Amino acid sequence: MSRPLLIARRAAAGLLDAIQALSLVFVIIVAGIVITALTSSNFYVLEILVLAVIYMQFTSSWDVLCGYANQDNFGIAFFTGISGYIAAILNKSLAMSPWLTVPISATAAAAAGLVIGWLALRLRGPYFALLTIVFAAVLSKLAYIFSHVTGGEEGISGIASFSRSVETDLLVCVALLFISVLCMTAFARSHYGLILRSTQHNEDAALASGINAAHYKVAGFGVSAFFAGVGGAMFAHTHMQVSPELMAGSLSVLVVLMAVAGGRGTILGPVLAAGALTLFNEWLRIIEIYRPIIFTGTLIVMIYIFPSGIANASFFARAPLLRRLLFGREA
Amino acid sequence: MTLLVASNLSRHFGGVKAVNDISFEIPAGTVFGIIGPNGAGKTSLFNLLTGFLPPTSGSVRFRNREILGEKPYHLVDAGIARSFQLVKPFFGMTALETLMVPIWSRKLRLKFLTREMREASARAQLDRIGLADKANTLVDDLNQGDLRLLDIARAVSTEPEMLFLDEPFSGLGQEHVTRLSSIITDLKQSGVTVAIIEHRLRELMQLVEHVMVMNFGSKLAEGKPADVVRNPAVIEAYLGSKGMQFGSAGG
Repeated sequence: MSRPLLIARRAAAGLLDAIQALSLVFVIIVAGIVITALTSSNFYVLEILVLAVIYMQFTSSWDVLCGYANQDNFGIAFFTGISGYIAAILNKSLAMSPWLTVPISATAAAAAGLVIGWLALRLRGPYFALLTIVFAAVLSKLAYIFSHVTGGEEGISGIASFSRSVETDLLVCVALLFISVLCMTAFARSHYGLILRSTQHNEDAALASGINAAHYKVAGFGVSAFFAGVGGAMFAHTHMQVSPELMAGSLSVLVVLMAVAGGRGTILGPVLAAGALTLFNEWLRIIEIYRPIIFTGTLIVMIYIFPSGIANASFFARAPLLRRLLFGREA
Repeated sequence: MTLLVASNLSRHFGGVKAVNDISFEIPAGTVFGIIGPNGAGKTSLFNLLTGFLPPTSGSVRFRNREILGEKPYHLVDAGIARSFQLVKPFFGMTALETLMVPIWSRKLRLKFLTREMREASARAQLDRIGLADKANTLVDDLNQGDLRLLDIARAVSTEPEMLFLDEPFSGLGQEHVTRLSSIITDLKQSGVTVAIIEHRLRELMQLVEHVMVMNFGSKLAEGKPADVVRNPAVIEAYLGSKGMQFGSAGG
């Protein structure tokens, strides 16, 4: 069997396996969002759902590398930012349709991810985190320096949305999220996930097993950056503007917090946590002045009670059926 | 036939000559022992031979091909595997998952094409070390003896021609020692060449045909176990009174 054919067959088998392993709760949530998009015309609700979907995309793309390799990327905004800006620039100056800018900008983010992944190969723990922080910080400074292209602090506005209606935009976003989660689940359940997990504690034993660990880590970075890039482009084409906030450190930290609270290394844990927390944060707007305090306080309490995240909490180990419903099949 | 030839192999750390101009040959199909006091350079030598440490100078030919300085995962493709002295398991993974890792090496990934084949292969390896009933146990919950056997099974899973075992018996209880000894004997019978670093001379001397003694990074003596333990230089450097005891027991 030829190599491309073999890879295609493995990818197809992986996707099929991911579909079978999919969490029922996630399917219900996606279906619920689709129904809301088709029936509701409440602009406010639809906008919040778009935001929730984008955050689900961000956190799951963080988890597909960091949850499995147990490395903390504190610079996911590098990828969301670079992709959002590329999508914005392509759309504004070349009048490219969102159907082209999303794949192009996500691929560009993936290419950047491969480079940073290669540079970060030898780093672990805080050093790895620092490298990712520095890259994101440099990028957001570049947005100010090259303000004639990026619009500086103002950012770029007037970007085309996916469609003319918020309802359809939401449908596009939730479809992209669904496909992304499926692909990332397939990746995490494949030997890539297995080998990324093996490098957590003992890369030498992986090398001695004939595994080129560097290949897997760099590939993981590329995949994570690609789907973060899809999220960044989603943001650009739904909010119709990008600003340096899309590459800010605060966004990176928020993504890490939501993913860790949800339970790293599960994809669905971070997805569900990001969705719930985004809605919670919006609901808190009724007490706007206390909102940041209550929101971050809730995150801290969650991480205090479940240090390894809700999806990895010990009560799920005793309730396999519930775990299966919420986070999908494990093996 | 000679499987592996090391010539004038050296590795210096600053002024310390961890491995100092060592030359030796490992014949195919034998069990080759490497002994020596702590800090003699045994593990450094293994790290050089398995690609974990870049050499200062020298040459290592495996099946007549120069392999010194190649990456560990390329050496696995060539047929060289190793276990580790300090077993650091893949925490958070099960015993079965641990043995799925080597199946994804370049050498084996085309051999086991379906999930069923891969799992069956990993289960067969678990069965071989007597851990079949612990397939779905997290390695975090295995005891030290099981972990060492699992690490050796991980190395054996790569289907090596030449297997390097770094102190495989240290810290093992009698039951695990017996199991491991029979695994090594089986490997030898199936044609695998094994090199063992060991402190537990009682187990080692029963298994090996050929012993090399190292001290201060250099080769001190080499030969049949019974001869080596009678060598006065060896007794003085390493074996001491115990060596005398072994010498007389061997004679």
